[in-house]
Amino acid sequence: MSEHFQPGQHPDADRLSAFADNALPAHERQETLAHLAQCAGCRSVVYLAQEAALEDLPTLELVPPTRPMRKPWFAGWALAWRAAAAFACLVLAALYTHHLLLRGSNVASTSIASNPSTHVESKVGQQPLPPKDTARQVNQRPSGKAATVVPEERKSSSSSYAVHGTTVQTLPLSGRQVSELSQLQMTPAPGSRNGAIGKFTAGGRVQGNAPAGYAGGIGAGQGADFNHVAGVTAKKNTVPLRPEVNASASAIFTTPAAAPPAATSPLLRSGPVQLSSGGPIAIRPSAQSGEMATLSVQDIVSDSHLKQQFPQQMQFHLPSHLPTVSTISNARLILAIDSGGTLFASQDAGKRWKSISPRWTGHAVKVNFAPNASYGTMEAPTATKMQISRVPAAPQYSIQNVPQAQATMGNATLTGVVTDRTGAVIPNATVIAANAVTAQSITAKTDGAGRYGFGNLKPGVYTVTARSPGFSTQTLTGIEMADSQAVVRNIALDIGAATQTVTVQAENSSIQTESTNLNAQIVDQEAANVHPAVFELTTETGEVWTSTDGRHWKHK
Amino acid sequence: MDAASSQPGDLVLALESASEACSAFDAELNAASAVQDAIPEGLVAELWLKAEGQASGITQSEFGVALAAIGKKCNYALPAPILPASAQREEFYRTLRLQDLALAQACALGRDVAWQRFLTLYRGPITRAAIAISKSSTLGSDLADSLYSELFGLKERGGQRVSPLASYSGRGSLLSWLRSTLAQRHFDHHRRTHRETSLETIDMPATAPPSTPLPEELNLLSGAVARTLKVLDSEDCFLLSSYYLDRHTLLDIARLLKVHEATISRRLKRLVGELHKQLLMNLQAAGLSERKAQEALGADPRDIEINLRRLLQTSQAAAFTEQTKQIELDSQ
Repeated sequence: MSEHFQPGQHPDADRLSAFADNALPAHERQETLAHLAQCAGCRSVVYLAQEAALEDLPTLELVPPTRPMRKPWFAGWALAWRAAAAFACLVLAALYTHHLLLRGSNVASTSIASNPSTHVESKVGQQPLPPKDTARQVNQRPSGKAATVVPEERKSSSSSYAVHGTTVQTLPLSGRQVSELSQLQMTPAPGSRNGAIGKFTAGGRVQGNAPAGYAGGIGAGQGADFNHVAGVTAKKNTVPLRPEVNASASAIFTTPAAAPPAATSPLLRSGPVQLSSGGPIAIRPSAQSGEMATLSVQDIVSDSHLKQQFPQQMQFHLPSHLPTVSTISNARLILAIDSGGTLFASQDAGKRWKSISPRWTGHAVKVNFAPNASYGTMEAPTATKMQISRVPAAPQYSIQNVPQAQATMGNATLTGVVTDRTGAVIPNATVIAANAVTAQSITAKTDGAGRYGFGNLKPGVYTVTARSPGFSTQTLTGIEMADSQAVVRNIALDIGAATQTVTVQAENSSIQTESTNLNAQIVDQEAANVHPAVFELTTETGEVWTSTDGRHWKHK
Repeated sequence: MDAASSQPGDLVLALESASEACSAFDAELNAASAVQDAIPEGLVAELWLKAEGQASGITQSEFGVALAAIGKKCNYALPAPILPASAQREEFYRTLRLQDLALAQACALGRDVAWQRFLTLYRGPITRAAIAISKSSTLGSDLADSLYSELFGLKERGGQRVSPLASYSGRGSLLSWLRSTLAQRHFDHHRRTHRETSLETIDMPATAPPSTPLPEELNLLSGAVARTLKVLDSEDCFLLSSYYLDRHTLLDIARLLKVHEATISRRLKRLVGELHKQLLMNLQAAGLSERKAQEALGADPRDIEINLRRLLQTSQAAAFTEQTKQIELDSQ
């Protein structure tokens, strides 16, 4: 029984309705609740009234709302929050745009290694010219006409470029050189993940002869050495390059005039050209074959920048787990220096590495092939090396060119891997590509990874023959090569006598086609086989050490 | 059930002199109270305008008198011992539903314009509410008509027409008051008609079963349950009664208490858990070990002579819904 109601006394309708409307003060509500808990009749009345209210919900609109109306969205602080969010988005967008512009300007005005330590040196007249028969040496046109510069162009996909080395220097070019270089063309590589790998073509012949800041990749073939020389950035004067087309060349080589034409970059199509980097750049006329210049570039890149500037496949997984700052390979041995200055050597295409005990003081910063007496001569018409360091999606193939220029007048490329039936690669296998119409043949050797490549092939039908000691000869026939087509043909050799020949009719459809504008590496096979490589290591103190096997080093 | 019938009876004093003295004292007290409860004219005018008293046909003075009576009746929403300040009185007046109050008071005074407005506004809702309560259109119409006649003041008390609308205080909405009144009238009608059909079984406590000797543990358990339920909070008792005795749903209870259904569920769950703990404590306090107390709690409820309805509420009657269900079953 309620303590507040006398026996037989019940709350009237006024109190019950006020209870139902939650309009009772606390003490009356407690009294009413206490009574309702004990009085089934009043509970029934309350629930009946509530039931009637639920049945008559539309009429509740007659009752003025007790709760205040909800504020409109534009009232009070609600709009302030939205304004603050919009302002924050604007600030972020402005920062991002500023960052993009900054990066584009930086890349356009600096070299590939937009790093404080990056510098470009002019070695014209100072640097010994490489021998004519080395792969490093740029091929010359016998006619002495204008050669083609085919540097690599790299697009930086990272957004964390630092602003370094913004010095822009105008090349002291003569009128013709300027006009030739002004015709620089750049082609973003189709299929490139970053879309900015391309080529420069110019009327001037430029020879790349640089102590490499980077040397990467697996060797082109047996004895075929290669390296990455430092980056040079070419840009159109006063025209800021877009980030996606910034011309960060990692190598400058000359190629024959018959080199595949590249698409023209609108940004580099005309106007004076500036090569800018941290150091001086000079292009001088060639001694023998017309316009030729040498660009010597030293390129030292910090660890943080290295991963951003080099594709993943160029980075070896060294035991130190540090990024690679410099690599060199002669296909039998790969030397790599990590960012900690430790030298590593690998004889199995980078699968296993061995640390080389340093005899020098300080950190090793660069490894390269030592220039010898045969390097740097300009008379080597067959010494051609074209390497573009970045192959975004596809593995790097070395496309070996034959000395006969007439055999390589096209744009097609043929690459592949020679393996045995178990899938193991066969290094040093001989691969011959023969044109079925002209009967011209090109010979190449597979590299340590079993890869071979032929570049600048004429369109036509080819027959590819691969042979290796201990394996039967395999012949692929009917390989159709169209203009500017890149065909990949992998060859599997069976174990057997070399006299056994297996002929396979190639299918009409290509396994894989690539653009010939992709990075290629043209190596003078002959020169590579003749001259063994001598490695040269440079330390941070400037000491130069040489070695023929990568293990035993002598101070130079 | 009616509020008018629920007032306590007058106290009759035997001594004439004492009666006269008290009357004089009461007159002075009432005069002082009237002065104290007087509402400033400005406030009355403001509230009258806000209540649209002119549209309802009630004068400003009549509205002021009604306000003063309501404030005194409700003690300005304050507990009884507390004397309200002027600000508290003003705040109380401002919290009232002034438009509904003016209309109800005007109708109670028999103003035609008020009745026209009342019928315009509430005729439909009253009919729908009556049908919903009685669950029959015929009964609902009859119930609504009878309420109209009652509200109009067909009943006379002391030669004056009395309308229940005069008891409306304006704390809740007038529509809610009308629904509650309809529910009361329907409940009274149902109780009367039900009594006519079976007097023995209505509101009569069931005859006590023959007392059979119970085990000691069950006796202790009965006592523990009684003690536990006796100290329950009023709201907890209301929850238990509504949920377990009346079999109302959680949603019904939640709507009535203006809370979420999940809140009621949580509170019931917590309440049952606390009851269990309290029962264990009471049983252990009565001398049972913990193990025996647990066993006693696991006893079959049919073995325990406990009338939860008697423990939870004073009325032995089943809930209204239970009764109506039983009637429907009987009629079938």
